[in-house]
Amino acid sequence: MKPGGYSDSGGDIAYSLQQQSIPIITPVQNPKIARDLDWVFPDTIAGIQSAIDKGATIIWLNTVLYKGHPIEDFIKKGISVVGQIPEDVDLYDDKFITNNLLKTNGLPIPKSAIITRENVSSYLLDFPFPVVAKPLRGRGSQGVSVVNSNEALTVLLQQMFRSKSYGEALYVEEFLSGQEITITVMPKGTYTISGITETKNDYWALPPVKRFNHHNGIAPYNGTVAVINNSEVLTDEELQQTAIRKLCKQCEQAAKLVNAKAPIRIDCRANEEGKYFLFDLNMKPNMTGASRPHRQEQDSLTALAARKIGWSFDHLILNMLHQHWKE
Amino acid sequence: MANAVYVAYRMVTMHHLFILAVPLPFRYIRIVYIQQMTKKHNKKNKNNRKSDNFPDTVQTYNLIMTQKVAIIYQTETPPAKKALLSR
Repeated sequence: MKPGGYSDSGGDIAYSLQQQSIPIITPVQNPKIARDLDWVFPDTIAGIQSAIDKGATIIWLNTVLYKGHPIEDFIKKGISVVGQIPEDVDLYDDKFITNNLLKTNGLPIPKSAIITRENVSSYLLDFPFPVVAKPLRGRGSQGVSVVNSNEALTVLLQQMFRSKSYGEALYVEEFLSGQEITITVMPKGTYTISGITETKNDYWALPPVKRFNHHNGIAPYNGTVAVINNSEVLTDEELQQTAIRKLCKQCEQAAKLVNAKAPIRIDCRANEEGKYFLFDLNMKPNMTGASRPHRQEQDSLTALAARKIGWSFDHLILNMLHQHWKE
Repeated sequence: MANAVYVAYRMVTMHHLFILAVPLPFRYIRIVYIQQMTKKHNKKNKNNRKSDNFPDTVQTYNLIMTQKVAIIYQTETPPAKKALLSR
């Protein structure tokens, strides 16, 4: 679990809403700007009930959801939420299930294999080295490594199993050596862009953001290196490239397949020939942003993408809020 | 005759006074009203200049008037991940 449980981005979101005159409910009467937990409620039954007792009518699900999450009962009772359907997050958090779904629907996915503790000494890969080893249910680039040989992979996998931090099954996929870009896809709904309110009848992609300064072939975790130091939105010229436009359409299709109710972010990478593949679908993209004075360098990849269409972090958050839904 | 002329004269002048006097309170009220509205309008514009965040859509205005938002954060590892680690 991420230390703080995403209370940092929760604080950014709450502060941004407060600055926009949106009535927010906080656990304390006068939240201190720098104290994250002053702005957010725990995602427990008691925490959610406390927010509702204080008058909350919309709950922003800035947490990792799953089937059986306490918010499910409140959704059934009619509370409005900003975020995904809990059950879907649980399902699509599993890389194997998600990638199979995307592959079955004709979307380009890197070749992959599941390796368990039982077959760690006898597995066979049908794709060449280097490869990427990662947890089946990961968070960012935590536990993700590029490996160049069979021997090194076996050693690494055995280490990962021994650490007991990643479970009994690990995911190995072909390493793509080309450019890495990440695409945020927004759900359908009514948005205000450049002062004009428009209704999007289908999923739509924000401009892709490219990643650079990789550490050993992997984009570092945003808690280690702020994304504004290793990421930037594609140029206007790049955005017009056929491959990029096609990839955006494919990401929009992926969002539809997972029935996204809030923004998702899909990491994509090109192979040597420049063909792009979707390699990681995040149902809960990082949503930190430059809202509070001490966090001006904390724009997330989604916030960076949003700036390209003229949205500040405040605009992004307000537009996300407008997509709140209830059963 | 002179009396009659005088009475007529007084009536006419009184009538003028009457005509002039009656609308005065209304005029006063109207002037005060306009002053108040101008003050309010200027204050609103001043606020708008101060902040880009003044609700500029009906959608946002409705949200401000009818909703209250609370944000929740993660306190537990999801069961699927827990199960994965405990095996």
